[in-house]
This record gives sequence, structure tokens and C-alpha cells, in this order.
Amino acid sequence: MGIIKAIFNIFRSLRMANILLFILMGTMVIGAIVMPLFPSYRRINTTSLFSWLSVTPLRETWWLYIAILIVALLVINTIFCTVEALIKKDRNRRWPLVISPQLIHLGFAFIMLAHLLSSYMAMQGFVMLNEGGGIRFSNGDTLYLKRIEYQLQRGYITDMKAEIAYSDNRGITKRLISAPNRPAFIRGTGVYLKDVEVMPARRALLQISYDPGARWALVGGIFFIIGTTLLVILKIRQEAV
Amino acid sequence: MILLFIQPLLYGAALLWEKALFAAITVQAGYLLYRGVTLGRLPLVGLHDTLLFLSLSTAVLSIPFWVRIRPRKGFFRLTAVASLLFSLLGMLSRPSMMPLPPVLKTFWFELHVVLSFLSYGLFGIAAVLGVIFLLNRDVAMGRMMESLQYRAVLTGYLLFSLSMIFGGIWAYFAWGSYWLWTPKELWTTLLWLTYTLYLHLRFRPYWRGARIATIGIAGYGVVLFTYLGVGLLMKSSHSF
Repeated sequence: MGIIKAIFNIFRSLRMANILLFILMGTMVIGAIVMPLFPSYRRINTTSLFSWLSVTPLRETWWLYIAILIVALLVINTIFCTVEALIKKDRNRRWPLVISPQLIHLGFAFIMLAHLLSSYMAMQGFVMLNEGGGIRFSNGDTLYLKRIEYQLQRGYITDMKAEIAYSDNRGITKRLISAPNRPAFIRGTGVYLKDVEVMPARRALLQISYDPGARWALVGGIFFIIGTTLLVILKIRQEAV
Repeated sequence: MILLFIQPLLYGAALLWEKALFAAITVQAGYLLYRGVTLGRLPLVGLHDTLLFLSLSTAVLSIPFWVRIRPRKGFFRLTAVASLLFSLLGMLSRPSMMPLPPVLKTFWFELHVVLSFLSYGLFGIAAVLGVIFLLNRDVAMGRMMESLQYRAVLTGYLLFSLSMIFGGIWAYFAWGSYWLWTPKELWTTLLWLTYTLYLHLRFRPYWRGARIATIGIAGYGVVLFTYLGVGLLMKSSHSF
């Protein structure tokens, strides 16, 4: 019991949070320096993080393992701090002042959950399709590029869109539009229009992405902002007194 | 074009006569408005526009602080110098006249950039307040500077967090993922962690005073490197 309490006390401390934040900052600096040095980092965004880590030498990725470990410890520290703050019976503290940092912590925990999901299961692929052409996936579904449209201004493409069709293996076809910042979503997977070409053939570069963490990151972001806004209002009032 | 050349002169004049700051703000806002109307979009792409917007943000956001500070000459001069410096650097950078790439045509991008630079302005003000704290021997004045620095950082942190969330939403719609592994994203996270650390350290009495004021100043170093250093030295989704 004594050991569990000692571990809880270490992990619930603000001092621990500060130390972990400081170490994480150090690993981020190392990462930012290391990333441009190795060509393997050009592929890091083309697959899930854990898939990429499994095929990349440790001497190029060691800082990422440290960062992941520190983030995991920070999440534990955040949860312990929140549990302690919520069960502590301090009648002098105002409820909104107690709850707002916990909302921020909850938001942080959701964002980290999002990163974990994305790091495991995110996937991405590119396909260049001619207008009228299509590609059949391994599950029997087919993606067609029906039509592309674009606008030119002084030689630059200023707008573009693609009409696509998606047929599943039951023969049900869906027609959708994909444009920059307006991807077409098919069962949670996005079809992104990245580029169009008209010479030598009318064709489009499509990106197919699945990011399972995105919705959890958004949930986390909402909690984080509600908590921070509440804290800013309360703290600014408190400091002004 | 004449507005572009007048605004640094007015920031310079504000060092001698405080009210010239309002003229500088008006002229600079007028120039950015003119660019916005000419280009048909928010002028927030490239160093020219963003440096001028940072200069304007710093000047405008300093007003609620300098009406509270007495005596305010030191604070006023330092923020005017910062705005002058950014406006001169902006003037020296070539304005981007190219049509906007389709991926930047979204209000998520606009919200992301506007909130980023507003938060940078507040972090700059926090650094100025930290410098005044360290140079000041008056205890009451020092306490006020530290408290104001905390308020600037906390508000800047909220705006910066919002900017990151909007940036994530934009990235998801533009690139298929709310997070991309690039040096710029790492430095942005580092910047966010720096101010997270600041806010956590301030809870501990040991860190209050000169130590926290120094971290508030160092944080601005991270801001400037994230904005200028990383943007100029490293390739990322933020290079356009």
C-alpha cells in the first residue's frame, strides 16, 4: 500500500508535470534538429506513425520513443492531478476555478488518445486517375474520376474540383465532389483532390486518407478551449483584485 | 504605397510623442486594408504581410496594458520599438502578389493565422513586461508587471491554443490529417509547451518573480524562432 501511495504522490505532483514538460521540450528540440538530417523523415506522414517507426532505424527515431514515453507519463500525471483536485475537499476554492483546469486536462487526454489512435491506424495513399478512369480496391469497391474542373489566373491554378463516383461491392454508387479543403468522405475515409493536370491528359492526383484520431482530437480541442476560456476569465478577474 | 513608408516613421515618432502610436496603428491598418482590398483576400501570406500584421497586433494589444501601467514610458517605448522593428522588416520583405493557392482559400486558414499572430503579439507584450520587471527595483511595480505578464501569457495561450485547433481542423480538411510531422509543427508544439510550462511553474512560489519573468522573455525567443527561424530555414506545410 505504501509503494502505491508513494507512486501516486510522485505522479500527482506539479513538480513532476514541470519536469516532464521540460524533458519533452528538450526531445522536441532534438527532433526538430534530427528530422531534416535523415531522408526517412520524408515518409513519416505517408503512413501511421507506428508503422513508420517499425521500419525506420532506431538511431534516427530514438528521440520519438523518448517523446512517446514522456507523453505517456504526462497523461498519467494529468489524470492523477485531476483525480486529486476533484476529490480534495477544499471548501474555500470556487467550483469553476477547480473545474476549469480539469477541463483543460481532459481535453489534453482526449488529444493524446487521438494521437494514439492515429499513430496506430491512420493510413494514406495516392492515386493518379485520368478523367473517366477508375481504380478497384482489394475489397472490391471502385473509385472513378468522372470529371475535373479548374480555374487559371496568371498561369496559377486558383481553384479546382473533381467529380468522383464510388461503387461498393454491392453495386451501390455514390457521386461526390472533392476540392481543396472540401474532401469527399466515404465511410470515414477522405478523398482529397491534390492536383489536376490537363497535359498530356486530363487527370487528377487524389489522396485517400483515413485518420481515426481526428474526431477525438476535436472533442479534446473543445474541452481544452472551454477550460482555458473559463480559466482566463476567472484568473484575470482574480489577478485584477 | 505611401502608407507603407509612413507607418515606420510614425512608430519612430511614437517614441517621442505617445499619441503618434494611434496614427501609426491607423496608417498600418489602412495599408493592410488596402492590400486586402487589392488582393481580394486577407493579406496574411508571406513575410511582408505577416510581419506588418505582427507589428500591428503588438501595438494594438499593448493599449489595454499601457493604460494600466504607471509610469508607462518604459513599457510604451519597448512595445513601440518592437512594432517599429517588425514594420521595418515587413517593409524590407517583398509583398506576395501571387494568387492564393486553393489550399489557403478557407476561413480555417484565416482564423489560424490571425489568432497565431494575435497570440504572438501578446507573448511579445509579456516579454516586454518581463524586461521591465527585471529592470525595476520597485517591489509594488514589479508585482504589477509580473501579474500583467501572467495575464498577457494566459490570454495569448488561449488564442494560440485556438489557433492550433483551427490549424488542426484546416490540416484535416486540406491534408487528411490534423497533425503532420514536420519541424514547424514540432516547434509550434514546443512553443505551446513553453507557455504550458510557464503557467504551471507560476503555481509554485519558488518560480514567482524574476524566474517566471525570465521564462516569459525566453518564451518570446521561441516565438520568434518558430515564426521566423523555422519558416526561413526549414521546409514544412507552412512554406508557401
